[in-house]
Amino acid sequence: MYRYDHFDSTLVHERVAQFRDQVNRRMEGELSEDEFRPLRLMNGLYLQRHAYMLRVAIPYGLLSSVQLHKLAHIARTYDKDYGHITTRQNIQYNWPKLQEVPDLLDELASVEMHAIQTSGNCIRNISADHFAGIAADELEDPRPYCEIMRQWSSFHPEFSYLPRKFKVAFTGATNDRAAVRFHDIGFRIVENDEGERGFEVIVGGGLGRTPIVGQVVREFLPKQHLLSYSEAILRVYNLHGRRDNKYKARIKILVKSLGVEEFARQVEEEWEHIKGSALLLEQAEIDRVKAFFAPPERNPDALLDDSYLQAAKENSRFSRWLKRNVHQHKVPGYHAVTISLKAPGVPPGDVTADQMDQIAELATKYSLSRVVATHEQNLVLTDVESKDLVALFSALDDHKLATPNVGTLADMICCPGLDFCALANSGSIGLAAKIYDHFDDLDYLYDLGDLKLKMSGCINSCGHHHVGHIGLLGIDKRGEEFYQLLLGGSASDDASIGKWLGPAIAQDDVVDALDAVVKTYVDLREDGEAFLETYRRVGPEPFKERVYGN
Amino acid sequence: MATRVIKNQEVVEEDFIWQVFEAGQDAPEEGSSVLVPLTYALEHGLDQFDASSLAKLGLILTGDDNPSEAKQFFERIDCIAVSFPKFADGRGYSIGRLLRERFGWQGELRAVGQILHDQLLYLSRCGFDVLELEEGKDPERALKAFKVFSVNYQPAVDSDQAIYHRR
Ligand code: SF4
Repeated sequence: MYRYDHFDSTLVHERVAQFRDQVNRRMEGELSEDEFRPLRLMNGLYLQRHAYMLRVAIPYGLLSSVQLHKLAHIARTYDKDYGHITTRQNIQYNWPKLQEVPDLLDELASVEMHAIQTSGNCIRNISADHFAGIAADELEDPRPYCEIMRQWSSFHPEFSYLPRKFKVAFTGATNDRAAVRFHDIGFRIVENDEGERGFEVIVGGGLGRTPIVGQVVREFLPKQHLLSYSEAILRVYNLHGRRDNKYKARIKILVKSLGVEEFARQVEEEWEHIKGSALLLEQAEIDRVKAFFAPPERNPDALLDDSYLQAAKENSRFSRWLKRNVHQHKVPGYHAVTISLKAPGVPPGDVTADQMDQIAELATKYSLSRVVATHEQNLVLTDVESKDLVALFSALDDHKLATPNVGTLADMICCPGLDFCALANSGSIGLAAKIYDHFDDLDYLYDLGDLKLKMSGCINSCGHHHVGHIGLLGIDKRGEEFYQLLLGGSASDDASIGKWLGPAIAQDDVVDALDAVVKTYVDLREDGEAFLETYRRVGPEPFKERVYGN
Repeated sequence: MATRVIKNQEVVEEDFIWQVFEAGQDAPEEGSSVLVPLTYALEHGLDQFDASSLAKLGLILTGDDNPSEAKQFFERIDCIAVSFPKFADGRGYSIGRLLRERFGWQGELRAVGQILHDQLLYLSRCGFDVLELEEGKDPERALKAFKVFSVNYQPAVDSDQAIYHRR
């Protein structure tokens, strides 16, 4: 993984000193709260319902064991012993004190981490496929480009006061696990007819109040132009994005109002002027960063030990876990293991300080000291050998980290909602608990197959409800918590935005409605059909009848 | 009355005050320093402003203006000011870079409006050499803002090198 050189580390330390000075000026009253607000936001610090919340960047989701131990230490020292993995592969702390945040940032800097641009109207932390570097369907590891982009976008003097936040995602795989069509810019590594690698550039996707699937602005961008082309996109947006209405300020609205052809024309025109500038990436720099992500040395005998298959026959719990939480790795004999942070009784995405330490230790022991945070709010051990699967399972199980529900309805995405967020209409975490209780039969969950349930506590859509196969959106109806039910969304290659099924449903009735939805699917599915396929084939009517029928 | 501004990262006192010309207003007094809105200049030209009778003549641009249209006036002006009505309105950063890097403006580039301590570094990286802090803010105290970072990741007006050219 990428290691800081003296430039990177100087910058991060100077950033902490700058923020410390800003906090001091705030405390002394030199800065008003209005003036301080954008400064703290640019450093991931929000004022929430009860306290400050700090969002720490995990660039493209990748953590070392050392970093994860540090995150555990921070949870213990500055928070109430836990952290929350977000849908953009970051981690949030809900209880830091303003005066202590600079010290917390110093601790992060000591392990090459930071909270830079995790919020505010700037280019946010870059996200990527959580199986980057190990996926069998991958053309090329996108993370070197994420890192190059992270550096270019950090403290960008021109693009720190954009009309609105700006999110970028990368994938190098054929199956899109990074939701590149729902970002302000999504980059897909592709190959052109000459066999050269470059990027397909997708712009103007996003969720929020106006969910829109991004459109292709350029089919093939040679790699050395990654930064110059991005600068052109950002410049057109910075100059022409709307600033009069924050709900219309994202780049998706600009692309929509200009039309993608006109938007692309303006970007290309701008790019013509700067494509030969100092932003032109040299191969030497690409190679330098790529070297940090070179595949690790592998055990050539990893394939020989398949005793875990026998163990699976004897131990049904292990076998379930193997089926749901263990994924194919591009190198035979290795596996990616998802640690579900969706255990019953725990808010989705929360992980305790002790669990972080345990996961970090297991990563050191079994997975080359690497852990990846996913946008589905889980953690992945990316390089586990076959021979270690049984031992890893039992260690995880001891720490309540082996919940075998990955990819099922219970592996839901859920925003913090009313419990923490000042904007929330509903307590999505409370609802999550009810859903766990109701759908507690694992065999039933497995029978339902891959099913993405996504919940947001308000229209800001942090829980991505528009792209859930089943989506739930909390709304306020005369002071009562209600939910809109959406069906048919997908954030993947078959990107689509879910449609409202009917009138909003009272919180108490949501579980019954979900039950009706999945039963309709079970009744109507044809051989091996997944939920989304059935829904797309039969349409909303049968679901509507069953949910609202009587 | 004088204005204290930050010029090339030092506090200086200007012994004149820029007046923004408004359409319909009488001809500016002799010896005054006048900023003409670009939109006005585009419509009426600058001929009505007699450079020899004015101390200084400049243009003022807003975020809605197209900086390429300022180019035709470069020969006749001493200064271009860009207004930032709110610090969150970041269009001026792009306008500054375009004026410097694309259109070749080498004279004074002045940031006016809600200019605060923590924007100074980025403004100067985008080509602004004169920064007029919002009223009531102490420019001396704000000078340390230029010293926050000793390296930069990306090229801008102040440096045509990206970090990877120095590694
Ligand atoms: S979706 Fe709404 S309630 Fe949930 S975290 Fe985002 S802003 Fe808060």
